[in-house]
Amino acid sequence: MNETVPRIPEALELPTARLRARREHLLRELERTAERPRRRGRGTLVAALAGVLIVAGGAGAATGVLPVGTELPLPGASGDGEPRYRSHRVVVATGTAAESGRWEMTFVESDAGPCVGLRLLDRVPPGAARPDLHEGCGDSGTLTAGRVGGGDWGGRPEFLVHGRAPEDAEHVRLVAADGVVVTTSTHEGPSDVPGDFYLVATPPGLRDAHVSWIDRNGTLHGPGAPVPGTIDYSGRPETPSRPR
Amino acid sequence: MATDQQDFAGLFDRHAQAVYRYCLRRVGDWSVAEDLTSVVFLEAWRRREAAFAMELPWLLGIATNVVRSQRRSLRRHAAALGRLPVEVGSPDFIDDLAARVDAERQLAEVLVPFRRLPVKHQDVIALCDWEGLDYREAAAALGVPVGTVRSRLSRGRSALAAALADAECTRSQLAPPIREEPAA
Repeated sequence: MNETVPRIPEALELPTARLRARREHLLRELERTAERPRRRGRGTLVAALAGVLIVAGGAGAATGVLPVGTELPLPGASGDGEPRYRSHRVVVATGTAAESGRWEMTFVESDAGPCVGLRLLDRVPPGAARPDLHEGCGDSGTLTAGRVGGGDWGGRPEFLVHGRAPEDAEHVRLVAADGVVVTTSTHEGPSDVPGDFYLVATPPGLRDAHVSWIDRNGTLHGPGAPVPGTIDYSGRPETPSRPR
Repeated sequence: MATDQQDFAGLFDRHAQAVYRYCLRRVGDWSVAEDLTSVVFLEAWRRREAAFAMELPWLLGIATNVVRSQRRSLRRHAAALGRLPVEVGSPDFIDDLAARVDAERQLAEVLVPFRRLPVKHQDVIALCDWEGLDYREAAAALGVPVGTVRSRLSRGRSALAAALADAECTRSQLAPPIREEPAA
């Protein structure tokens, strides 16, 4: 126990009878899960779906959106300068943007901090065999903002500002210098991934944009995270996500 | 590591109280901590194939995520918790109510400045200083390198000391002025 850390009261233990009841309840619940036909392991599902993704992408066909909670296998080895990942990449949110089409947001822990990625499924960049993943990593801030879009893959330009928000965030609000204000609801993501996630589709040309989050009581928490510069569609972000 | 239900019962027997204490110290609410304890073990069962040898750090790592996203965790397991017998689902602390109220008040006083810290600092202080995990165990629980635990702990302790000093300063400013006794 460090001296600078205040002592906390020695918590009283859970009374034996209540502990026993919780134990019995837990075992009953495990029994219930054992009785249910076991679903395919997530890892198996992931491998299968990822295989489909790559094959379909290679053929230039549209790919399906993976369900939230799907784990994506990581590449065997990281390249120079790439973070080392500590877990599987997990799909944390999906949706469809007006111009950019279907998107899939991912999360993975790395030695460079948490990484939030975005994959556009309907917009394969010129020359690319499959939808590419844009990922920004930074130490665990509670509100991050990355930006994807504006590339020349066709369609009207649109930027997708996205990132991670605190668990208590119900909405995220983007405010730009030219008076643009966009508010969006957060996505909860899988239960074992901390925090919520958001995506705001905006027109190009935003200046000095930043995002803030709003809790369920309507309180705005600021001043917010600045939205970084444009991220090109060739792979690596110009500016990593900025943690707050 | 526990892979079948009988093993899992043993895991619960060995660590349920420690998980409960950890949840209680993080959330400061008896009944929520009790439900979260159940959720931690339900989540542990779901992830048992990914379990590692250090049982308690593994469970406390799950508990850390469950506490961070407690609303979602409770909602996810609402059906299972709804099947708790009524007498377990509602708290009954009559036996030692006074002691619990007193402990809850003390805990609340500590948690106010504690919660002003970044979550990553809260996690390492709770695991290392309150639960007694060593750096290696805390690193395993959080899935970060040992060096990260050390640096977060150092920064977290400094930040907590500053927050406590601030709180103390505010308290003394809010305290009523001491009235001097008139000279006899």
